[in-house]
This record gives sequence, structure tokens and C-alpha cells, in this order.
Amino acid sequence: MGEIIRLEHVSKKFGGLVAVDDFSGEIETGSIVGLIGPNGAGKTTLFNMMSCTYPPTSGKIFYKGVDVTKARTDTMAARGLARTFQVTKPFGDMTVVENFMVGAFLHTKDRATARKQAEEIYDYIGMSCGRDKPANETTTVDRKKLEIGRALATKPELLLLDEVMAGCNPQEKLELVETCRKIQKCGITLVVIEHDIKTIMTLCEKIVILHRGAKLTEGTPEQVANDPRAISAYLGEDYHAGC
Amino acid sequence: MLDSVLLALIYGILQGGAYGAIALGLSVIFGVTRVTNFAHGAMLMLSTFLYYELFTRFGIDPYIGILLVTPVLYLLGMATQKFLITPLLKKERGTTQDPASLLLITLGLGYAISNLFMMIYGSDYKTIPTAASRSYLTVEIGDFLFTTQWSRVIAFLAAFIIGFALWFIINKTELGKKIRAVSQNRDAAAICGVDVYKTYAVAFGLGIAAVAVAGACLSEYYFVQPQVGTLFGTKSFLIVVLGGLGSIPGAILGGLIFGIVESVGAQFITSSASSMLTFILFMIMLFIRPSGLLGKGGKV
Amino acid sequence: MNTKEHSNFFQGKVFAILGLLILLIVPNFVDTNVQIVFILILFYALCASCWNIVCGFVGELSLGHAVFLGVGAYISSLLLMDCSLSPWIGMFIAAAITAVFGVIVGLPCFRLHGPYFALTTIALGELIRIFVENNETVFGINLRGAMGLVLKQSGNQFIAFEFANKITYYYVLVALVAVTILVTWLIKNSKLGFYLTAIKSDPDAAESLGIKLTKYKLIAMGISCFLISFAGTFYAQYFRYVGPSRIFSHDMSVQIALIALVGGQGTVFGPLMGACLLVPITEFLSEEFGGTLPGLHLFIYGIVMILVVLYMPRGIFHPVTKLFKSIEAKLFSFGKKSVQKGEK
Repeated sequence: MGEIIRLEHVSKKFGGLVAVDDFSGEIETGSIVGLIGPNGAGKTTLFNMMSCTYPPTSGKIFYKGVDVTKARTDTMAARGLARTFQVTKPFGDMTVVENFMVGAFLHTKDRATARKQAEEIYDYIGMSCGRDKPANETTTVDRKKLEIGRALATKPELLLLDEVMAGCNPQEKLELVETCRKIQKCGITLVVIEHDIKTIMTLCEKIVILHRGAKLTEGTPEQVANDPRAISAYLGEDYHAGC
Repeated sequence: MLDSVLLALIYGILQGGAYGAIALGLSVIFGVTRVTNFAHGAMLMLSTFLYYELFTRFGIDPYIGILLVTPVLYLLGMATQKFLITPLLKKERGTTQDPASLLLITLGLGYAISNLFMMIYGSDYKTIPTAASRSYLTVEIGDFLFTTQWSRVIAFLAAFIIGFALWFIINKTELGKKIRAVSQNRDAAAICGVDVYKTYAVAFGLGIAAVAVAGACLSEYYFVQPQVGTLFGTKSFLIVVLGGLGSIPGAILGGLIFGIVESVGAQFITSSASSMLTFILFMIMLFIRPSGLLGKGGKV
Repeated sequence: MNTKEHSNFFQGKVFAILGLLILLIVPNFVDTNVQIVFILILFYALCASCWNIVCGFVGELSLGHAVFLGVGAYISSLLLMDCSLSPWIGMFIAAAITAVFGVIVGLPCFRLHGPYFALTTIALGELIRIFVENNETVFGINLRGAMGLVLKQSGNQFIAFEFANKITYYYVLVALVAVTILVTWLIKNSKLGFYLTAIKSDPDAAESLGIKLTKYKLIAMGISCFLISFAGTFYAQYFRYVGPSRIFSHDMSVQIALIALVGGQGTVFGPLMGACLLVPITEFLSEEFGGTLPGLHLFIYGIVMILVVLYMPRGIFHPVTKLFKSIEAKLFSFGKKSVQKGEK
């Protein structure tokens, strides 16, 4: 299959703070990868660089073999990379379906086509709040789904999900895990940032642990769970015991 | 030629100090509350009319009048924050932010105040013939002769006095500690028990009190007229952006640069063209470094 | 079913249709002084609608839009005076140039946000005003400085955009406003409108969805400037005079913005509604008190601005339509009841 995105020695400094320190790695096309690490480990910074919100201080990023280190966010969306935001950013004045339409307009100019695609997405990700509900009146879980749906509407090949399950109850988390699996089955590569270890262990095929900006370890959920460095640095003793 | 440029430079510095004095309050208000007070010029104008009334009715010199007018304007500033801006801030929390509303409400207030005075006083130009405006400072070095009103010199010095007073209040007092806390992080300050909205009101009041002091100095040599506010208000904005919104030394520095550019520029091109120069300077500054000469970096 | 849909179409629109009919027909039957007020209403509605296309949708506050009005007025007038070109053609050339000018100006300005954007537009407005007031000729073009441009009487020729009676001017304006409102409606319901609303609501999220922020802002700017230039041409032809200190003034810019804001940013009919409310008040006040209380109408503007921001931050459009709908529901309630009975 090959890799969809590759990072080579990527670092990001904000003033004196090193947010990401010499990170290298790649993501297989069609896989579902979890990115975990304590707060401030540099997960979102890594996402921001992958989606070209800002360029890395040093290092290079290749998307589908093309150097996109200095590309712009909007061109990345056109190339097939979509993302969600940790703090949800709904277009509050629009309805749910209109939010999806904004995404769908990336590939069409026609309003009716965009509307049709948006409604398909609404059904696809299983929202129940009502198509024409104003986006800023939706619940937390619907906002998370709204973020995912809007990103999906741009027909991405790679989807970056930044803590979409945070703030959701166990039932809702299960729903979102199902949604993620469904998305992966459509051939979309997923990278997921999540704090809930159990969820991410069941969802992902590969897990990367970030610690203080650097990659601590990576591997399958079992490998990571048994890696002593990971256990001591992040998972903690009780996780091992709990298993 | 050289002499005239040198003279222009001195006049420019003196006028620039006055600009700085006026702009200081605006900068402090923005630094603390993040409100760009478009009513600043109108409040300056309002203060000059109070001095005018005090002088014509009771013969009180504006310099003395400061003692009476500043508290009034302080209260006006507090009231503006309390009744116009705080309700907006409270309403906007949580819902979608619309920063334009803060801008609009002060713009509306400025319009209302300046046109209220237009209705009362008409558009005639008035002057306050005080002692300071009629006594002159003369410096003579060889052929070089320089004369100016004492009131202009005082206005120049006032910039530094007001600047220092504001700096002292903000950095050296218990009240200033609250103001700094609120300006850095309003939520964190609120958690620590600081009454955020009250502190905002105090900061707004301080900024307007500062402009009242500057107004006294200005009224000693400049016209008193309802539209004076718009003129100085716009200039104050250009000055604080140039110097760095929120920075006290930045406001004075920006004022001095403006004064010099206007005055020296007028020696080489027409005076109206030199005021265009200040606008161009401002726009270039915004595009290169929006945080201003002495402002802290940050997103705009 | 069909009849129900039919009645739904007119439901809640009775007042709107009534209002539009008043705007269309009444000016025919009133005296010239009232016609002048109607003309001013539509003139400001036109300007505010143009302002709304860029600022209302994008959410930035331009306080220098009079610049583009003025540029349009100047270009078409100069073409008429110096090249004897009919304003009917000149207005399109002026519109094209103004649109290009707007895009060039917008390119750096749209990098700024909030107060910085507003301040830059104010500075730009003042800059252009001072420039025009103080330059007799620029690049060989005779701008006539602070004197402004005085258009000669052509003897009421249609080709010269000069008409014998006010009502003809009025219907020219009706056409211009109709076009602008139609354009606004088309934008609102197209990709561009969705993109602009998205940008206004959250630029970061918009960008992540592949929206080129600057591109779409500039398209809106171009359209807005193109259309407001027509208003400029109309202004010049109607008053037969373009004075830089009025047309480029800060007051003019604020008035345009205020009318749109009071009406309702980002709505199709809001600016028209804002103009219908504010312009008659202003005209009445300056007529009655202009001599004794100068500045009264601007004072009222200031107060209105404060009240709108405090109590109707999204403008009067939505509250007013709601009010009309409820009045209508009461007025025609017996008709509705019979429908409900029929359904049961």
C-alpha cells in the first residue's frame, strides 16, 4: 500500500519552547493510527504541521510523496487531507447540513449537489439532532460528529481526528469508534489523537506515543502496552495491572 | 534651510509630546480591556469644553481645572465601561464572538458625544486665553531664534508626567496588580478573586482621566471645537498602533514620531501632504509589524 | 396540497410585498420633496447593500467604503467631462476600475482583523480624501482638487444620464437596488455565500476545509466595489456635483456601514430595511432642526448605533420580520383556523 504521509526529522519551536523535537515517522495508507501522549506532548502541534497550519521549524513533510512542508492549509484540503479541531469550531450560524455543505463545496460548485452530498453524510455518520438544527445549538457529541462530517464532506484520503471523543460518555464513545471503523472501511486513512487509552487500544492498528515532543515508542497496541518505557512514562503501572 | 528644518523638528517634538499625552489613555484602555475606544477623541473634546466652561464662567485656568474635570471624566470612563461595554462582554461569553460590536458601540458613543456638543455649541472655534497661552518661551543661540508658547512646552512635558503616573499606577500599586492580572488573563484573575469587570471599569476610567489631563494641556493652546475630537481621536489611533497598542512608552514614542513627521514633512511638501505621510507611515507599519514599535508580538 | 403551498408562499410576506409596492408606486404620487427622500433611501440602501456584500458576509468592519463610492463617481464623471463619454457606458468602466482598485486595496487589508482592519480602512479613507482635496492634477488627469467636479447641464438628455424629473432618477435607482439585492441573494445561496459565512464564523475551520480565505474575500470585495461604483455614478449624475470632502468623508463611510448594520449584516433585505428606517428620520431631522441644531441627525445615529449593538446586535431584520409575521398571523387568523379545521 505504501505510506500516505511521511515526516522526516520534524521539529517545531515556539520561541524557546520545543513543542515537537525531531519527529520522524510515516503512516500507511488505509491504516488507523493512534497518537497518544500526556498533555503538552506535542500531539496537536504535530497535527497542525501535518495539515500545514504552520510549517515546522526544521525537517520535511511528504504527503503522497510530494514535499508539502511549506504548503498552505487550504491546498492540503484539496489534496485530500482533512482534520477536526480539539476545540470544536462549528459554523454556528449555519445548520448542521449547511456545515457539511461548506465541506462538500470543495469539489462542486452546484448547490443542489452539495446539499445532496451533505445529507448523505448526515445519514452516514448517524446524527440524530435534525438536519436543520443550528450548529451552535447542538450537543457536545453532535458537535464532534459535525466536525467529522464536515471533514468527510471534503472527500479526504487522510483524516486527522483531534480528540473527537473527549467529553463524550462511554455510549457515545462506542458510537464514535464505530463511525471511525466505518470511515476506515471506505479506504480513508485515519490518525486519531485520544486520551482514553482503552478506546484507542481497541480502535487502532498502530499506536505512536509522544512524550515531550519526541517519539517515545510505536507499535501495535500489544507492543505498546508491554513496552516498559511507555508504561512508566505514560500509561502508568495500573494500566498494566488492569489488563 | 537647515534652521527651518531644525525649527520644524523642535515644533514637531513639542506637538508630538502632546499627541503622545492624548494617545496614552487610549493605549492603556486597549492594553487592559482590549477595547479600541473610538470615543476617545470625543471624550478629549468633551473635557476641553468643560475647561472652556470653567474658564469663561468662573475664570478657572485649565491647569487648575484638571482637579475638577479629571474626576468627572474618570467617572464617565467608568460608566462607559460599566453600562456599555461590560454588558456586551457578558453577553458574548460562550456565544459566538463578535468583536465588531465593541468597536461599534464606542464609535456610536463618539458620534453621539461629538454631535451633542455640535448641537449645544455649534461649530465655532473657541479659544481659552489663559496666561500660559500668552506667555512665550524664547531661545536664542546666535542667529537661531526659537519662540513658542509656554503652554506647548507644558503639553510636551505632560506626556511624560501622565505616562509616568500611569506606569506607576499600573506597575507599583495594589490596584495596578489587579489591572495587570486582568489584562494578562481575565479568567485566571477572576478565579483569584479579582472583580474583573470592576477592574476593567477602573482601567477605563484611568484612561479617560489621562485624556482629561491631556485635554487641559491642549485647551491651553488649541481650539475648542466639537470636531477637534475626531481629528485627535483618529491621530491617537494611528499613534498607538505605530507605537504598539497597550504600550505606555510606545504611545509617547509614536506621538513624537508623528509630530516630527508632520512638522518636518511640511517643510518639504505641503502640510496636507505631510499628514498623508502619517497615514502612509501607519499603514506600512500595520502591514510590516502590526504589533507596533514597542508592542508585544501577537496575533492581530 | 397545492393551495396550501400557495398560501405558504405569501404567508409572512404580506408586509414585505406591501413594503416593496410602496417603494415602487408611491413615489409617483408625492411631491418632489418626498421624492427626494425616497431617492436618498434607495441611494443609501444601495450603498449599504454593497457594503453588506463584503463586510456583512465576511464579518470585518470597513469604515472606508465611501472611498469606492467616490472613486466610481470620479471616474465616470471624469470620463463624461474629459472624454464626453456617456455615463451609461462610463459607469461600467468606472465599476470595473473600482473593482480592480478594491481588490488591490483589499489584498493587504484583509490580512488584518477586527480593530486593525477597521482602522486601516479609516486611514485609507482619510488618505484618499486628503489626496484628492490637495491635488489639482494627477498623472495628467485634472481632478480639480477640493473644488470637486461640477457636471454641466446637458439639457435633460437620456444619453447623458440627466432627466427632467426626479421620478426617472428614482426608477434608475430602483433598478440598481434590485440588481444589487438580486446579486446579494445569489451570493447568499451559492458556494461563495457559504464560504464567506464560514470564513466569518471561523476562519481556521474554513481554511481546513480548503477555503482560500483571501481569494473569496477579494471576490466579495470586487463585487461590492463594482456595484458601489454604480451608486457613485448615480450620485454624481443626480447631484451634478462630486465634492471630495463629502463623498470621501468618514461620515459617509460610517453612515453606509451603520445602515447595513442596523438593517442586519449578512441578510439580503436588511440594508434596504435599515435605509427605510434611518434615512427618513435623518432627513426629517435635518429638515426640521438642521438650522437650529446642527449635528442632531448624527447624534441620533450615534444613539441608534449604541442601542442596536446593545439590544439588536444582529440588526432589525429578523425581529421586524418576526413582528410582521405575528401581526399577519393575528390579522389572518380566521383564515388559518379554517385550514386547521379542514385538516382535522
